[in-house]
Amino acid sequence: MELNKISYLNNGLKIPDLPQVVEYKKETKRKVTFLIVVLVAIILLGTVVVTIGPLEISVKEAYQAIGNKMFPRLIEAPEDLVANAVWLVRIPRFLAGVLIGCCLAISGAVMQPVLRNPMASPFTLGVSSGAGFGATLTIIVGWSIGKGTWLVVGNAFIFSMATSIVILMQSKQKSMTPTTMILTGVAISYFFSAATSLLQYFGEAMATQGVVFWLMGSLAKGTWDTLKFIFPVFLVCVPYLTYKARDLNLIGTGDDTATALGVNVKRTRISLMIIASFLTSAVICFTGTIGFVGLVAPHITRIIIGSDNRFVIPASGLLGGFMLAFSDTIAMNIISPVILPVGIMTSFIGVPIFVYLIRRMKGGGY
Amino acid sequence: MTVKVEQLEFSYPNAKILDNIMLDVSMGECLSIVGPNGAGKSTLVKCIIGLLLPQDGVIYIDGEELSKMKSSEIAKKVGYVPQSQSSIFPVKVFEMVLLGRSPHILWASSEEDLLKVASAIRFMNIENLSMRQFNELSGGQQQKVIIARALAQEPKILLLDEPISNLDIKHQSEVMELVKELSTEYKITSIMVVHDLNIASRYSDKVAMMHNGQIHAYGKPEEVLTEENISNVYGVDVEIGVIGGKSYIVPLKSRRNRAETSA
Repeated sequence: MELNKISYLNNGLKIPDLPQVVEYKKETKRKVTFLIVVLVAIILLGTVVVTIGPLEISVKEAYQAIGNKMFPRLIEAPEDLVANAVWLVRIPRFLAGVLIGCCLAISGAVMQPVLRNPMASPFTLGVSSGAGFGATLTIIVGWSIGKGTWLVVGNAFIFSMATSIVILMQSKQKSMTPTTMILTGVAISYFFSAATSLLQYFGEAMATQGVVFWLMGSLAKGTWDTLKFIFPVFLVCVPYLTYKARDLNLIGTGDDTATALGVNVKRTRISLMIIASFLTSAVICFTGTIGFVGLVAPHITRIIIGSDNRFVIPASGLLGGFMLAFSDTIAMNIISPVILPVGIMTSFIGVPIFVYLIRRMKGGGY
Repeated sequence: MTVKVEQLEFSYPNAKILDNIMLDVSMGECLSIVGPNGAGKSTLVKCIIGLLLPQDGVIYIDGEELSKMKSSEIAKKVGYVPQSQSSIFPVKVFEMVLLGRSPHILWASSEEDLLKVASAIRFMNIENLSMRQFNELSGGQQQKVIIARALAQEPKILLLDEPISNLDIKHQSEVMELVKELSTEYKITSIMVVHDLNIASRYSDKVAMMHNGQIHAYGKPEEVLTEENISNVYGVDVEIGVIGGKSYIVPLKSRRNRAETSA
């Protein structure tokens, strides 16, 4: 038995002998470098973002405001208007942008290999159309599960989760494959879009406009209160998804392969989809539909660092966070004081970059 | 490790695919499963790796009942080489082979894992492909990568579903020599589905000839690959010669053609 303890893999080789291992490690270093670069970019963006906005605040005042919050004894507070604009508007909005972009990108990065479809996104399971319907129901009819600040948000969340649960329950059917799941998701999305349109059709002009605004997506709710809700969700979901990255790598190459290599494919697929949908629902109920980041950030990441999900998940999360926060900065300042919906800006900035990357991509990928 | 299959039955809702299959493969043995298209060969292999659940019968892996083993346990013992493999996302060869280490690792790969991957790559003689994209490779090269992945898994049993059907004759014999080496030198039990009867005859210790979901004949290659068996199962007349102590099968005429020409 000791003999066949696989002597063919132990033929006296040492690591330095093996250029393949060296090259693989070099690649791994490149991936880590990419992660660090994007992280640094986010931090740099943050340092700039706090200094710009519709309200004229000098760089010095902006940092004075932050410094005062951190070390109230050492640094003098600027005037209230400035302090509030920086501490209660700019910083939470920036952090929310990063966090929300991160969540959307990560659920896209998970959905694509789980369903083995490059077109899958956080919205594949109808999450956004469910949320849209929930929000519309509140805005037009005035009916909601939630109260107060949770009026629209709560309803959007409940309906988006309900939609994905309905679709996931279908997947218990034996005949369900990734493709039929996507088809079901798309079909149910159409159903909810139709229901939303119906409500809009009979809704009053003002309310209808509110719905349109919601559907465009914005970071207007990027406040500390929102962060208090999203951050714990992030802390629970993202480590789990990253932990499952290896199983995800296997599922991406086929159910048979994954099963033969020891993954319980059905259970893993469902649990990953539930978590990814939950993550998406939890953020889009605050923002409205900003889905593009979730589709594109994982692809850009894969084009740059390949598709080992142990790196793709954190890296696309960071990239998605950067993309959304960056787009929001542009959207807020490009025709200041008018703030454009961030959903529009993400696509305007993201699509050209994405198309460019696809064009110059070397073969062998998708 | 041994593989034993007892009275295995498998059916899809409206078709019986496997009927009363019995096999007994001892350690280090190389078994070829042959038979016409649709005979149930791949289904049998998929049952043995646990991808399909048989309705009846028992499969033993090294004396342990397969249905009572966890898939992660099976993965440590049995390697599977599917008919074809694709990836919709870009994966490099090294990473593809590294997937074979999955049953042994939780999250991060150790130096030892990388070493084993590199050795498997070297064993399959595909070092020059290591950093290429898997999807860019030819069918034959991909096949070798997949076998390397199964080797990185360090299985005691190797199941190969038509491992050489995409390969030219040079690669065919290369792969078969490697499989043979694994079974004779390293006592890895291998079960493979092959279409080429000459390959089955030349490289396997035993041959199981399947027909309509049943095992028509089972035994040493020269006992199974007879003119009569081949004629009954495939409906092809053949002549069998002997070169270097191994039987060689030369197909003459398919019976359907003969019927047509005589009609």
